[in-house]
Amino acid sequence: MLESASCHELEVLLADRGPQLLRTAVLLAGSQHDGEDMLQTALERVVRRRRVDGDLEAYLRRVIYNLAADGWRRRGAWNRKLPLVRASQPDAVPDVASAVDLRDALIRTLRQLPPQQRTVIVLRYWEQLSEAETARVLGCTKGTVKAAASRGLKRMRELSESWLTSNAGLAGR
Amino acid sequence: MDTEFEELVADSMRRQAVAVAIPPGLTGMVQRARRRERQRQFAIRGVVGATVAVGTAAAAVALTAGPRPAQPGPARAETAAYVLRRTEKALAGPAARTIEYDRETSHREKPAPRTAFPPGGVAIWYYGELTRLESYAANGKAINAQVLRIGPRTFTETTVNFGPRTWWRITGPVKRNYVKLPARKCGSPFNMTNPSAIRQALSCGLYVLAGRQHVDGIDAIKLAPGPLITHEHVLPGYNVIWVSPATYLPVRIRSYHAEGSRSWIQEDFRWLPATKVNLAAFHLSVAGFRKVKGPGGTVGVVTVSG
Repeated sequence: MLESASCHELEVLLADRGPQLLRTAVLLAGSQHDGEDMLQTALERVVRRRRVDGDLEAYLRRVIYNLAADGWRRRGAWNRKLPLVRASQPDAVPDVASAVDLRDALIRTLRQLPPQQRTVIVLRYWEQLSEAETARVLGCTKGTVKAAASRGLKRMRELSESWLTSNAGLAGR
Repeated sequence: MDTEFEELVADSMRRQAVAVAIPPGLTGMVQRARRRERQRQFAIRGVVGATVAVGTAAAAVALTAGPRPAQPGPARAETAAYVLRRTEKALAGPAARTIEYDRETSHREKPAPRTAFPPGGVAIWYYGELTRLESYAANGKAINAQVLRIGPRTFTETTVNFGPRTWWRITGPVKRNYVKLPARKCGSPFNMTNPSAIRQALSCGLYVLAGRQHVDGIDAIKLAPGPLITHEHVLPGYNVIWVSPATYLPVRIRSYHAEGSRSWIQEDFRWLPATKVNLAAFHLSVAGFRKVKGPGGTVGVVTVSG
């Protein structure tokens, strides 16, 4: 288990960078609760190590990204089905405030992507990592990152297509 | 992919991230992580310790079942519920189409009373309505063999006594009793002797996963009594079950006489295909034996439901 000194380092890191790390975890996991859970699990994995060589934040981030790409608690399939279940409920009244916001719609489509695609999209467009950096932290090739990002964005576009056509006027930034 | 859409995606995430609520005391998560890790390490040590201790005891009571190749255990973590579900399924499916061979031996702290279990144990074969039972003397020689066919209304029993070289065959009515146990008493009878009884015990949800242990060359999954059995005394004694990770069928059941007891009856199972050769076990040859009058009576079949 990580020594007390390193745990103190981890606490300092969390005090400084915690909010940013939590935001990333929430985007990757799809909800506030799951994001907190993911961050907690990532911390446990870091604590499990005897020592961390090099940048602690980089290591913690890598653990979070890999948890997400591995299909955080295998919820991917369920998350993809959930909107369909909700849509089929006759009493489900759409939230007008969120329905008019394309960005909310896009975040919902992000949650429906397979774990690897979602992770790549978050790393590329939220963390602003290059394809090479994303490939390095996820331990895959640049080609895999490129393909996952392309498929992910394509799927997001498809999923939000109907919304885009019916709200073309509202889609502007 | 057009850059406008990519920018829209990036902007959506920025807006979503701003809405994330940052809970106070985020650094407390580190201490929580340390606590959980310590608990995890203690749990691992507990399981490893228990497995080593029981493994030594099991090695001292090697039984007659032949050598079987060791099977590698599954890499993923198993839960008791998962193992029990698979075992129940195996007992209801594949086991029902095989001959169950069960070698029972008794291990006692004190010498057994004269009327108790045969000193060399018993071997039982089950297949549908057929049962063969053989009792053994302390030196391993067979005392007698019995084949029983229990039909819906009548039974036929053929018994061969190897000492006096006699045999008898009797038929009689089957008396069926259906017993519904109270909700909490859903465990099996003390000594589980057939798939339905084992299934019943497992369905009660009274067992928990207790690691892995080598049983007869198999890296078996051990199921031990849960808190319901040990604390509420659901059974008169209690059972420990080892199942194969490949078939999920029981390979060994050890029935302890009471909590903390060092006396037990051990059943070692083999699940044999119903081939002509294996089914021959239910044919008892009486050639060269003298026929004598057998005891009369009925066969009672008790069906227990939880």
